[in-house]
Amino acid sequence: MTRRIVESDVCIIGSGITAAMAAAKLAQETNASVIVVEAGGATTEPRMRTRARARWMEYGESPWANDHVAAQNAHGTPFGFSPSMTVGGLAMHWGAVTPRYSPEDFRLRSLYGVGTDWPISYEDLDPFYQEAEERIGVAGAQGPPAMDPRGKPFPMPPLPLSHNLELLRQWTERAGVTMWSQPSAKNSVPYQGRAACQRCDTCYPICPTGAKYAPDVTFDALKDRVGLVTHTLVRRLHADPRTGRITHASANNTREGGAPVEIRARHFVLAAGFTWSPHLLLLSADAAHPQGLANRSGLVGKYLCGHRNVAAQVRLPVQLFPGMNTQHSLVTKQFMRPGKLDRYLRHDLRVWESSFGQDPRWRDESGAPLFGDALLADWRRRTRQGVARLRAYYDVIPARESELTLDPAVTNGFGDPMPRLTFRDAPESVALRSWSEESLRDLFRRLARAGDGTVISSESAAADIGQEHPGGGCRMGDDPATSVVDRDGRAHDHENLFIAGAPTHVSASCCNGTLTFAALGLMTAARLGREYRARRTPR
Amino acid sequence: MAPDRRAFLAQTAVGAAFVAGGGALPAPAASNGQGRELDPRLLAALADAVLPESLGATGRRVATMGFADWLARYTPVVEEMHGYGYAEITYTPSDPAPGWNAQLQGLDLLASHSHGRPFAELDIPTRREVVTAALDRAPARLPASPLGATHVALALLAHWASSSEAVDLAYEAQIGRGNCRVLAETTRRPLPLAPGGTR
Repeated sequence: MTRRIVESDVCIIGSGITAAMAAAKLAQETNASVIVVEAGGATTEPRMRTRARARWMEYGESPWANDHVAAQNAHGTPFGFSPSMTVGGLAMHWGAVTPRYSPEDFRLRSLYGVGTDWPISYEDLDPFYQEAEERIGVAGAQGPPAMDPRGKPFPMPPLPLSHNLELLRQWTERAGVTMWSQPSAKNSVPYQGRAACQRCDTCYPICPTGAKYAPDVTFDALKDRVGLVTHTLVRRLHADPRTGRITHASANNTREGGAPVEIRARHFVLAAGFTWSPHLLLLSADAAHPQGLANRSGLVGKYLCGHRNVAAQVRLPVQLFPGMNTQHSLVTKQFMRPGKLDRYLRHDLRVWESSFGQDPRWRDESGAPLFGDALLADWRRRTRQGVARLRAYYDVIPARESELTLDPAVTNGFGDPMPRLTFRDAPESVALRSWSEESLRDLFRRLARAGDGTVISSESAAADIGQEHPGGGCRMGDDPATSVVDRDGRAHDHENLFIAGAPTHVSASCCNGTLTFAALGLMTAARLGREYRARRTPR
Repeated sequence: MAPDRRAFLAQTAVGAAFVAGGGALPAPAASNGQGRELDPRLLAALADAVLPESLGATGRRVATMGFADWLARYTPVVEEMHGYGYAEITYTPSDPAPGWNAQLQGLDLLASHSHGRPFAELDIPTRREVVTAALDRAPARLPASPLGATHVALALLAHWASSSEAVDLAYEAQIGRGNCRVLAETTRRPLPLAPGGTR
């Protein structure tokens, strides 16, 4: 079978949001030739998304055609992994919620004596957060500066608070919790050629209008400058045993009978997320690197991180109209910046409109059947009081044994062992878990009382074994003995290998990580870009 | 598109015209090109028994035709949305039509056994007794989708209740759930429904 050879200055492996950011920055600001290699292909094209949305709403059909590759899946955790492999990656169907981490997230050991400090500070990342927000298009409200520090304003005004959310904001304010519009990668006004949001309310899983950012937009805009190599699964990176430099990558076409592809580049950027990035490094073990590439520390695949949540539904004596903008929420960072703590607990807090407990039913409490107008009357009666959905993600410190390993019992079509994921809390988080979750339930009860309301349901994360918004597996640090990459994402062991975004996380804060993945991708691209001549006319 | 599917859509269009004009509607047809049919007479009789009287005859017919159209366009064993964080790939269920048809026939049999007349010839309270007996221990809450229903009566109700129009009726306000519209409108309290429960 003929081996296809692809060459470029920079080869980015993976095409999710981190890869999109890195590719855009390198292509627009340097003279480097850039290719992006993706195991999957393009998914549902924009002109088909209205129909795809309708089918999802009516039947639950996936609106994202061909968004994963057969037999390319992770095992071992009931929650925390999505198998999407497509141009744009998992961010093709993200919720587009884009909070920043707080300054404390980068200094947990120094401030609270738990976990590990990052080698970078919030201030280091602030310009890249800003750049990510501008490239993606983030609509956000400036929270109180003490809670929500940022160097520059958001690129777009916030998504307006719906009638429901404004009532709920007044309620939380009475309880002493300051909340504001959740920053979101959804256009509150027309932005960079994309329309303003029409609150279709299906942001997750699909925006039919393009008002929500998805990475395929970036690749489409870059099509003359970035080579997109699709249906190509990178299976091994090869390092020179003397210098440690990555010489090339071996790949196979995921169609066309698995035809081999060899990728040669001066620099490789691994931007394949928290699962496939360490997985590829472990798969690439050779005689000189028996533990896998970039793994002198033995930490490739270790310290997978994420967080959990506690949620509640609160009935309030106020009429709400759920369905106005269900996916938009209030948020606060009040509890992410708690100051000095006797016991460690940091969390965010969100509030949404809800229709919990208001669903139509055909029998009442006594078991009597309800048909016709009796059913409608019963339904109406239960809509008269509003319900708020509350959720708090709380910080979980990862254990070293929170890990990705190769599972020889499960292989893909090429015979490669697939990843096995195991999430584990560090001992300090194990010890704090019950108290943390009860503290959050206390907060919910306090909020309910402040609004003369009642907690009608409370639950801890269903994802008891997995974690949400995961990252890690190639954590960053200044010491090669305790980290895989440096502060710029460069592998300690391979001077031309960079790892970008989610896998470089040291810990995963207590909010969505995607904006931070993107910012880290830009920071890595900025460092890598210094290896190339700047373009005369950047973007 | 198969000819009888086109015929069905044409009939739906006729139905819409009748609604607009306030005229009487023909009996709903529930057929499609794949042979996925529900007995139209029994389905209409069931709809009259379980859907709100306040929808009026035309409203119930429109809801019934919407359900039939939904069923006609259903495709079994299509990949479902894999939820965020979940690795398992799942598929839509097999064709529910044969089971639902059997349940409609079951209502007719039960009516004949217990009341000596076909289901469609019973008065509304008696039809409801028969439906209640058939539903047995089905969960009180309507499923979010007809595909989650254990009985065709609940599937019909679930299809209607999941519509934006039904939600507006329940909240007596023009929420327009699931409908794309201007972002700025979201800041205002939804307008009340017009008299008669319309937008």
